[in-house]
Amino acid sequence: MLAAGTIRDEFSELFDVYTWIAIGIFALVVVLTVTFAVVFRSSGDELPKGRHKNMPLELSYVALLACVVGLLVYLTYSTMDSGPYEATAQGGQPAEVDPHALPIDVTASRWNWRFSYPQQGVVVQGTGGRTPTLTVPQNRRVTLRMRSTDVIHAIWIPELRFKQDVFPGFTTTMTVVFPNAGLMREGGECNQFCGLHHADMDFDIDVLPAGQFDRWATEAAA
Amino acid sequence: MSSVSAPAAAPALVPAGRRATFVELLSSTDHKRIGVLTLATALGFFFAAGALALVMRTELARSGMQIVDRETYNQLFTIHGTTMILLFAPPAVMAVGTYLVPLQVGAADIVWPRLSLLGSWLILLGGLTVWSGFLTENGPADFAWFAFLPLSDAASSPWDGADLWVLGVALSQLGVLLMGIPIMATIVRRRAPGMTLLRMPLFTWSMVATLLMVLVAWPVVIATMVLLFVDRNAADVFTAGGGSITYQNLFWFFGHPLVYVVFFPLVGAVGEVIATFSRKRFFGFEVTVLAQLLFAALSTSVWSHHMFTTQSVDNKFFSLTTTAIAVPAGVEYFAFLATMWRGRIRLATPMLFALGFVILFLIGGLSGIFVASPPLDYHVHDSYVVVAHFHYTLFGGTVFGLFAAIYYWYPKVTGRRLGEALGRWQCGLMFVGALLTFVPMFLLGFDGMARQIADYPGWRDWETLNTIATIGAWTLAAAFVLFVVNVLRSRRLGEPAGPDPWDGQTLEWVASSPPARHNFGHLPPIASYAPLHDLREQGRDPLTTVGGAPA
Repeated sequence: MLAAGTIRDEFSELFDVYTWIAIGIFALVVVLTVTFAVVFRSSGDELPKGRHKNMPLELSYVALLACVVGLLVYLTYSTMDSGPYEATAQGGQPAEVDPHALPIDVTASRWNWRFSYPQQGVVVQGTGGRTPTLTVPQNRRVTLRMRSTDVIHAIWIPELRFKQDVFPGFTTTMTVVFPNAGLMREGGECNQFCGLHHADMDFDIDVLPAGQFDRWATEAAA
Repeated sequence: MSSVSAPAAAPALVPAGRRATFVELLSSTDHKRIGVLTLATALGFFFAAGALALVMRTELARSGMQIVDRETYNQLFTIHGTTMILLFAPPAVMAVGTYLVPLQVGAADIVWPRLSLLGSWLILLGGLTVWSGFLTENGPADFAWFAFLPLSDAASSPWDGADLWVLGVALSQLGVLLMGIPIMATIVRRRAPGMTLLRMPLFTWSMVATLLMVLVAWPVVIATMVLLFVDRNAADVFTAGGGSITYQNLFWFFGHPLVYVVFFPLVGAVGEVIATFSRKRFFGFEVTVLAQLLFAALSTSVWSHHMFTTQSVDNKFFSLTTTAIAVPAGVEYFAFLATMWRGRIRLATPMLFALGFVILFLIGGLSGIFVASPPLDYHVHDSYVVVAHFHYTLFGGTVFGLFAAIYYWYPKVTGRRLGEALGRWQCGLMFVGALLTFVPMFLLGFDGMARQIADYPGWRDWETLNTIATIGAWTLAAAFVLFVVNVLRSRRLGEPAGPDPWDGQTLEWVASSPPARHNFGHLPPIASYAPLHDLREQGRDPLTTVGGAPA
């Protein structure tokens, strides 16, 4: 039912390419800088001979840089167009609609979360002393339809390598898959500064296998 | 008196041998005095905001709240950020520009010095207005330095400190704009005979690119702050006009050119330091200037990379424009290295700071390429990864570049050198401190630590990395104490510098140190962007060769 791979898989693949390129450039520049500073160190007074421009070399270098940028942008676009990212809204791009995704309405209010499951008739409300739990089925697309009642918030699930902002006045969505069953303590965080208790605006995430999720929903609705 | 055509030998307003009084320092229309006054203001804000950072870092070393409460913590990072990025960095680059540009183009004075002085006063006044929030009942603003709506509206932030923040930002940034205009006018109108555009030094060119961005972006932030003030106190402005997204678009349209504004002039300064201490002229001058202008043009079309997670902008477009920034930035790096290639390098303190800039800013630039990619940004946006990233650009770039500039031009400004030994220690501690403080933040952010949080749960194993970052912050504090010691020491013990202690390449080094009221007694011939280097290559003494007419 699901396209292979998760956002996390696609993220890691792209992140690795960026990291190797960055490490390569960083090492090259540091080695050259330090080498030059050592090798060309001199207290002599005479002026060195040498060119101060080389237009063909400089322009070839600009072309090389443009190729690296082109490659990175191509990889980024490909990742954005890959299955797991296509399934969720990104920027102004709407999500591809999946009728099988489980909708959950998320309401953010300073400084807590409310999760409402319209298909199951379940509502989970966090309160001052209690961190709410977002219960989700394993390996099934979940679409969070998010709104705020006051200021801007955001949901970040570091484990999934994904986040989206939550606004008052209009709905944003995120469609994600939780591949591993189990409880993620404070697995969701508010990630847009929202005032006094922003640092505490977390929620737990409980990922249940499909059958267990249905049983949980039935019990919670009762 | 007219500053337009005053003869170069005009008597100093303050007779030699007497220190200027406080009032004279505050009210002089000499561009050099204005520059020093503004730099003193900027550094004052830098140290004050640095002190706030020490409190925050100390609080974060351990989980749980130990020394401040949440409300105070939120105020601290708001005022730290606001002060560093708005009250320290743009005023600092305007200060260096106001001091140096007239000298570098061979002018006797800046155009419209009173406008420049007014700008400097507004920066100080606006900055104090922001900080006066500490004296109000509920303390200063606590809605983060970008003041997103609706958190910054009258309902969510009804305190006086918030209004003082909005007013103070508007006033200080008006000051930055007013200081920028005379520098640009001086470049356009007051270049010495022979100084064609392509013979302007690299620093002056970097100010051109900077000021083009200031002229485009600063009116927007001033207008946005006025609108925010009206929104808070009179009538709904932003709610009616599209609300929080409109505010974010306006703010980042300013906010992204802003970060290049506080960085470009230091690229120019570092380029001149590298050329001087390699005893070569800057490599690839024309391509670098072109790269800076391209960079400035691109800077107006990257702002929404701050908004990849809002679902309100075209992520692909802004990812493309932002990643493309790597091209002009890469050109600058190539020029730095090619300038050092087969030079005769002296590792004096300005050069050490410049090399620190090259290495540390690179971390900021490379991590910037990561966050320019939306799929990567969806994870690290608003996490400590971003905090680490922009501190490598602002601390590794702006602060290292500024200290390269300070150590390089201090002898020109004061007539005395700073101590080399103290300078090396400062540079070394800053370099180590910058790695200790900000590298752990990359790891913490990737592991899930959000920015702008007063506390983190004890069960996360984040305390070790946070403690390392805190030790790094105190290391940085020690480095800045050495700087203050060095400045105080140099006033009596600093070695007299003479006009040209470093074998400089640009016109300011033929003026006396400090320069006379109207800068130059004579000017050498100006045949390139490194006129003094030309003369040295011809075996002539740059200090005595007279070529151009007196300015």
